[in-house]
Amino acid sequence: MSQNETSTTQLEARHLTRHFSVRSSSGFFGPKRIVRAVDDVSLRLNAGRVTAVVGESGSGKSVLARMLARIVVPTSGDLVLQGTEVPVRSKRTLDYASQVQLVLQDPFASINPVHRVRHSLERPLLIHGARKSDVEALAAAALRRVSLEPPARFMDRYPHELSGGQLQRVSIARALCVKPKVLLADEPISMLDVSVRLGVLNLLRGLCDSEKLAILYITHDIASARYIADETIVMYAGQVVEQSNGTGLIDEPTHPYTQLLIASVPDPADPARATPEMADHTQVSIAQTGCRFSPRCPYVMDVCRTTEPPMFNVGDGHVSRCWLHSKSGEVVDVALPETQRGGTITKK
Amino acid sequence: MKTLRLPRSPKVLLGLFIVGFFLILTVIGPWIAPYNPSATNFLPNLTPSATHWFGTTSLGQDIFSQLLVGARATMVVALLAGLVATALSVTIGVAAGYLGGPADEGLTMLSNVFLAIPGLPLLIVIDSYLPVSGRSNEYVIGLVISLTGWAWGARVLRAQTLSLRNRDFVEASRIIGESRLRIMVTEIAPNLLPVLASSLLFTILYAIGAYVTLAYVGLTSTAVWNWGTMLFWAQSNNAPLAGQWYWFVPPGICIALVGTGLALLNFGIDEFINPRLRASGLSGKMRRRSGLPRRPRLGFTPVLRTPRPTVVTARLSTSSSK
Amino acid sequence: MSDPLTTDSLEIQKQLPLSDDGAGVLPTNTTPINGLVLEVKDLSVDYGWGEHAVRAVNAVSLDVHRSQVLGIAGESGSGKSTLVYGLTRLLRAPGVISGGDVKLNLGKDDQGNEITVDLLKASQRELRKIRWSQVSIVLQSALNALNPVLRISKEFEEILKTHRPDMSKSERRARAVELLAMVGLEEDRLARYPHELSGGQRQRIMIALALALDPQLVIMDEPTTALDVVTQREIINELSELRARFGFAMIFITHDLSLLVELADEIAVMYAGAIVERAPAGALYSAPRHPYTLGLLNSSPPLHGARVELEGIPGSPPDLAEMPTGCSFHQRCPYKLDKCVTDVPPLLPVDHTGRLVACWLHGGGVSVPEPLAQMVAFSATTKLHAPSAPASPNPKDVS
Repeated sequence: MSQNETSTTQLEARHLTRHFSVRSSSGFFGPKRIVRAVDDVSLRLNAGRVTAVVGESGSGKSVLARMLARIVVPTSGDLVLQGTEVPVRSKRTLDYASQVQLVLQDPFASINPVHRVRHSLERPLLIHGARKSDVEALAAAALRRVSLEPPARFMDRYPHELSGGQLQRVSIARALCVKPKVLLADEPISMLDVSVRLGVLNLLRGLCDSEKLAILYITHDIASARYIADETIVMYAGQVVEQSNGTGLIDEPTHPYTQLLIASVPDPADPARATPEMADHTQVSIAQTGCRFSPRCPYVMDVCRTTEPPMFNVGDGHVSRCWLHSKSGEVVDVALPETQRGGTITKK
Repeated sequence: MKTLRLPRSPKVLLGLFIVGFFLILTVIGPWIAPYNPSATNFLPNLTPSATHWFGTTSLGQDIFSQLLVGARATMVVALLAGLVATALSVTIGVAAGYLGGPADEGLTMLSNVFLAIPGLPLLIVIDSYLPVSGRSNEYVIGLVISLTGWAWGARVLRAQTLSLRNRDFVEASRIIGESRLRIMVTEIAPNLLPVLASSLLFTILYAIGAYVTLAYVGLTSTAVWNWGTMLFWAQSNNAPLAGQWYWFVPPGICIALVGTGLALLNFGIDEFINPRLRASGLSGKMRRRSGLPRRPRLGFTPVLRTPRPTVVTARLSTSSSK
Repeated sequence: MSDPLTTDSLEIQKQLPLSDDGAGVLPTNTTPINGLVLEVKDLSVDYGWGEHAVRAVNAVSLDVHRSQVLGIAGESGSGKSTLVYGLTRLLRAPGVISGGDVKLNLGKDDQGNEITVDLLKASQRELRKIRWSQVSIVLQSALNALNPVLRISKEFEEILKTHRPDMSKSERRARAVELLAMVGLEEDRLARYPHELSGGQRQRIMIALALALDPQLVIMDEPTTALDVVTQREIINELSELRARFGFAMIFITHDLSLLVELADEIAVMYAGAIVERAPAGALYSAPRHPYTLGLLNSSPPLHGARVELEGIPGSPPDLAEMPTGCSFHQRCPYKLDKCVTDVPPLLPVDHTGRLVACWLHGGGVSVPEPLAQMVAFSATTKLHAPSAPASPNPKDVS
């Protein structure tokens, strides 16, 4: 899928930010700290495309997913669903729930263990207006869409009777019951057995292609992102640090953090590759001023410590938040539509 | 729910037996009682004999009949009070835990108030304000008792709900669009059943104690026979001093037995919740026979050389992709 | 299976050797003969007993030498964790060891006699002497292993005090600092509580604690699974360096086969309680012989190269209580023969190099499918961080 093909933007996030105020460890009267869980993230989820967000724990990817699903209220920023702006401050509507669904990481935790599979599938159908007489057939159809055949074999089972892979498929089927346009998947395969993961990944890719879903795939495993992504985003400490179409940033990483990630992944096919030296590998410090990656960056410059870098254009549809590219690329505001990008200096 | 297996632990079986026995007594007690418990036409102060298994009171009433008939009121009130109190604690506890915010604060304050106020004096005060007609109605007494017995269960259930509320499946239900009420009732409450059952048993225990105490103190109508009333009469006729053990010991033992039975049943619920207790609950005799040490020791996995267990032929599952 | 695996933090492992005959602690810094540290023969572990027993580990044999890393790869139900907790007798009820032999060689004592401990016959007292000083286990989640109300310094104190009673307080402190430095942590970490540290730092502390007494054998049960990939890389590098420096034997358990190919010298792949293939790492990666190994290798999408659709392995691991007849993998195997349904394939050498495979395809009389008959590529046996000076030659090394 080339980036020139226009596909509808189903859900768009503009400058989404989420801050938490946390009391520091010195007790009740200690000074409050602001944790910037997600800071100024903009992205577009288009129909028939998989957008992968890669990040470690603490990168803010899960909070981002929950903001997109609207179960967490953003501190600032906007959401646009199918062209209409969403009132993020007010309560989430049933209509939004029917358009945007979220699949969680642990299938055994995200399905109520005391109810049969049938119950978990019926509830979304009934809530979103299916007729009681149609429910059975619709639930069976949902199971078929996730390749759990024959449906009758799974309908009356309890979650603990199914394997992890099967249960995750049930979780996806449940999300599909409401016929969403957007499917958000928060680390859907991390808790599954290795040999089962690809099946679920292939399922997600298949659903994207056949039903033209817009899929957000969140993971910490960059190799799996590479496998199904049409667009890849790398997050660090709440910010997007690199973004590219396809897997451009994996083949040619331009941000030091992305480079570090890729070098750290075990890759027996390339055992002789060099691991970049890390400046401070024992501290997990995120800088409060300037570039958040600066304490760990092997290419850190003075400007990195003082000023936060904006997004720079480093290639066709490839942007990077790093001062290293300030000369080669112009500043980019990712939230703007493709046609308006480049040349505008709206630093955020 | 998971298939209910008959518990193998002797403690639980004993508890089941005791409680079952008294439940049966509740139903058939008045029918099988040999005499009218209020009838005073027997010789008073008789010691136990063939005609009067537990002797007679100083008014000439058959104690055994009083015991049998009294079982019904005692158990019914205890059960009623227990059920109503538990229903109250579920409603308040789950709502407080799930809704959070001002609702939680208000309900928690309510439970704390009821917890802090001493139960028995409160009962006595409420009871003394009841009209005589109310006092002789066992159901009213039961309701009154339940008013003082729900607070502890509510706290426990609130704590459980708080932990369940953050679980993924609750979040998933929210994401689907489920209403709050339905989440509380159909998603959270079923996961609370083991705790609920335990809370119910304890509340019934409490209710028996409360009812017996109320009757002993003389605040219930003496027209209805129950074990507490028997103790009341025994006390006011100086039975202990007169050495008439057969008057006050039997009702005391019955109360204690019911309490023990309920407590033993609680063990069963613990085992049900924690399967590991079940698995290692194999009897000492079985373990010794298989050559294992009587109690499993941590950090010392036993060695028991056995051949491979018979392999059960698995069903050839259709290879649907998983 | 709930929980028979989690040990009660470090507490069990750190337990005092009961004050006894003054036989005290075992000598350190001894070199076992042939470098063979651990020898496991036909070990079987069941859950439950009698008619309800389920065999979780079925007649597994392996050996580990000094300075060698043995990787054990497998998915859920493979028995890999049960295996190591069983052989160290740390498995909780209802786990039972139902067969086999486990011998730990600890080298020579002052008189030149060999010290060999039969772990299955050892008494509780003997086990306590060995634990931590000769064999230590690094658990999967350090958060669960470290006592949340103790400062890190206290953890080191306890271990050193119980096993090295002759050390003075300042010596213990110095040793703790030394250990922290070994894993790349600053001294100020000692004053902290576990919750104040990141996951990576906690895991490093677990490793430092595991190495505190210079054990002969270190067992790591998925130590990096819960950590991010960058921290994982750092820790793996540290481990390689430490192994090169101190020469201990290591058993590394994980589900990530790619990680093992980089770290381990030899890999044993487990499936449904038994080893299905065992080979040097590079050979396993470039030329797998068992269909399950092949499937596992194909389950990891590559980081470079063409984007092709991969399959993984259809189906899922069998329920140990209801194992299929014959080969445990046959229901998911693309190369299944008739024989596989009825007969269990034994673990046999597949060539002269000492590789072992449990598969009827290699029994002769059948042409081996091409993906399972690849040539071993020499370059693939190069490690990313090869130990600079191995303590003793490893007879199993193919390259």
